[in-house]
Amino acid sequence: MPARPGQRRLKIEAWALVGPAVLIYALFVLVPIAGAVIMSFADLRLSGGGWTFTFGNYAEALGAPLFWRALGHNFLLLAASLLVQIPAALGLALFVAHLGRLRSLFRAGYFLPMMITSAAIGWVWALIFDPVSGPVNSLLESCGVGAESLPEWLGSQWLALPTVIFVISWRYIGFHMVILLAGLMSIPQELYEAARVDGAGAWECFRYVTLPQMSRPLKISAMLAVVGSMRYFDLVYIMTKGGPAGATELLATYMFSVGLEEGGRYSYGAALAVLLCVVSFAVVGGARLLLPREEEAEVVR
Amino acid sequence: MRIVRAMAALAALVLVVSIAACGRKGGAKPTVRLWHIQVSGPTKEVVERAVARVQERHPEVAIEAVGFKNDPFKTKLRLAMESGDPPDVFHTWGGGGLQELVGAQKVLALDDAGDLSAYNARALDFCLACPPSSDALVTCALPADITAVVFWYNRELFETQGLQPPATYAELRTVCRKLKDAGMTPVSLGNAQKWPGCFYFIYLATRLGAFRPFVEGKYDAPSFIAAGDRIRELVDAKVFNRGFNGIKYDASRREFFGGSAAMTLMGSWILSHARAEAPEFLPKMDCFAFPAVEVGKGRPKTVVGGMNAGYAVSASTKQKAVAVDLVKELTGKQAAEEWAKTGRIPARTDVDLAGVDRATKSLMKIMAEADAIQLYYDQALPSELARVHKETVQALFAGTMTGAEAAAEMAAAAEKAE
Repeated sequence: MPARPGQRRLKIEAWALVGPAVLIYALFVLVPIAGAVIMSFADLRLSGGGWTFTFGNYAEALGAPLFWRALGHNFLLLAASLLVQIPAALGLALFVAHLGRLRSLFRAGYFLPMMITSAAIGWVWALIFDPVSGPVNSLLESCGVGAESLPEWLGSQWLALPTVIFVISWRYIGFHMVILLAGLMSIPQELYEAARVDGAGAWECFRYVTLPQMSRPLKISAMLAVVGSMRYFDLVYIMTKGGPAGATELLATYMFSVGLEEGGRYSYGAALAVLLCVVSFAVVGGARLLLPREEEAEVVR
Repeated sequence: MRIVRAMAALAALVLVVSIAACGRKGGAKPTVRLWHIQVSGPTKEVVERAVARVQERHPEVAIEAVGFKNDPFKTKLRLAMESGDPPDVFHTWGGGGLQELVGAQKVLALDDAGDLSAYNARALDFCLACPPSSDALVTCALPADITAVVFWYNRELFETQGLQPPATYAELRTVCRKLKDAGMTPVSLGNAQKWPGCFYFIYLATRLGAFRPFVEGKYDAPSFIAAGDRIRELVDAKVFNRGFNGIKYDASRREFFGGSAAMTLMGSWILSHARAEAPEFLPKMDCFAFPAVEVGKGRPKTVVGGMNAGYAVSASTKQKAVAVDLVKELTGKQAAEEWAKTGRIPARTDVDLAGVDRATKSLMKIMAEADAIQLYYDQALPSELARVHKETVQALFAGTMTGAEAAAEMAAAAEKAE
C-alpha cells in the first residue's frame, strides 16, 4: 500500500533532521572502526610496510607479555572501581542525602574533580606525589619516616599502579555519587515510614529499603565503571605513560605507545585496538549476564 | 509550525555545510605552515624574528608558525604525515626519524639549496637521508643547532665539598659517595619520560664498546650487557634522587637548579631552561665530559649528541620557494648568533661568540675537543626499535631486568624488525 503523502513527508522530514547526525556518526565512528579492522590485518608502519594480509599482528599481541600484563592492570582497575569507587560513592551519597540545605554545595564539591581536565589533575597529583619535593612525602618525613624509606610513589614498581588508581578513583567517585544520589532522592519516604512502623532500625532500613530500591542506579554506575575501566587512558598516560617499566601499562596506553606515539606501528596498534574492543564487549556482556532476569523486566517496564 | 520545521531543517543544513567547510579558509592568501618546538622564552623569539624576516620578503603568502611541546610534536607530526596534511616546514632531529619520513617520500630534498659550506659538517651529516629512488645520501634538512650531553654540576657545591670534576668513572663513583656522605643527592634524574636515562646507557655502551656494536646492530654485544649492569650498579649505589622513574625532566632539573642535587647528566638544552627558570643559578653552573671508563675500548673524547633543531620541507608543499627560504633563514647566520645567546650551540662555523656564559664556553671546549659524536640511539634507530631501547633502559633503572635480559630483548626486537 502506498504511503499517504502526509506520512511520506513526515518520513522525509525525519530523515532530514536525523540525517546529519547519522552522517557524522558514520563518518567519524563507523568508517574509522572499519578502517581499524582492515588495517589490523595488514602490516602498515611509519617505516613502510604494506597491505599484505596477515594474522601476524594478532599472534604477536597475544604472545606479548606486556599485552597480558596491561590486561591484568585493566582488570585491577576494574576491581578497584567496583570495590572501592562505588561503595565510597554510595557512602558519600548517603552522607550528602542527609544534609539539609548544604546538600547542593557538597554535591557540587564532590563532583568538582569531574569538571577539571585530566591533564591538570594528572600534573597536580604527580607534583603532590613527587618523591623528593611533594607534600605527601614532606608530611611523612615530618611524621618521622626516614628519608631512605619514604615511598617512591609513581617511581616505584609496586606503588605506581595503586597511586594512579587512587587518583582515578578520586576523580570518579564524585561522578558515581551524583548518579547514586539521584537514585536515593527518588526513594519514596513512605517506604521508610512503613519500615519504621514495622520496627526497623537504621541498618534494616538501609538493607531492606535503600539497597533494593537502589539496584538500578547501582547497576548503571557499575556498568559505566566496567566500560570506563576497560578503555581507560588519560590519567595514566599523563602521570606515568604506562611506566616505570610497564608497571602501570593499560591496554589503551600500550596501544597508543606502540601503535602511534613511539613505535609508529599502525597495523599492530589497530590490532590492539580491535582486541581492546573484543575484551571490552566480552566483559560488558559478562557483566550483563550477572543481572538477574526479573531486574531486566523491571528496566523494560 | 511550518516555520519552526523549516528553521530546524535549515539549521541542520547549515551544520553540515559548516562542518564541510571548516577544513579550508576561503579567499585568503595561501598559507605556509611552520611547526616547531620552541614554545617559550627567548628561543621562541628567535623563531618568531626569523619568520618575520621571511614574511617581509614574501608578502604574497601568510606564514603561520605553531610551536608544540616536544612529545606532542612527535605525535602531531606523525598524524599530520599519515593523514596527508603536513605542515610546509617542520622541525626535525635528523637521523633515523628523518630517514623514515624521507623513505616514505614525505620530505623535499634540499640538494639544490645553494652553498652549505657555512654549516658545521658534522651537523649536516645528521640531515642526510637516502630517498627510496636512489642509493645516494641527500641533504633533506638544514641544521639550526646541535646538542651534546654532558655532566652539569653545581660549582658552589663542589667547592664547599672540596671536589674536582671527575675524569674517570671510578672518580665519578668516589665523588658520588662523598656527596652522599655529606647528605646530598649526587645526581638528579627524572626518568619518567624514559629518554633521560638512555643517556647513561648510550655513554656507557660507547665508552665500553666504541661504535661498532651499535653500527652493526649487535644489540646483545658484551658492551651493551655491561652498560646495562653498570646502570644497575649506579642505582644500587643510590646516586640518584628517590623515585627517579616517576619524575619528569621538569622536576629533576628544578632539583638541580635548586641546589639539592649536585650533578645531572643532560643535554645542552638545560642551558636554555636554566636561563628561563633559574637565571641566578646559571653562573654557578658548569659542565664536564662523561668520564672515561677504565676498561673500555671506546675513546673518552666521544660525545653523545645530536641535532637539536633542523628544519625540513614537506614534499607536498605548494610554496616551495618560500618554504626553502624559511628553512635557510631559521638556520642562517643571524638566527645562529641569536641561538648562541640563548644558550644553544649553533650549527654554523661563521658565528661571533662574544659574551656567552661560562657553562656554554665549557661546553664549546668539550665540543671542540670531541673526536666524534654518537647520535642518541632513539633518534638513530627506527621507531619500533627506539621504543624497545627506551623501555628496556627504564627497566634497567627500575631493576626489573638485568643487563643480559635487556640486551637479549633488544636483539630479539631487532631480528623481528628486519
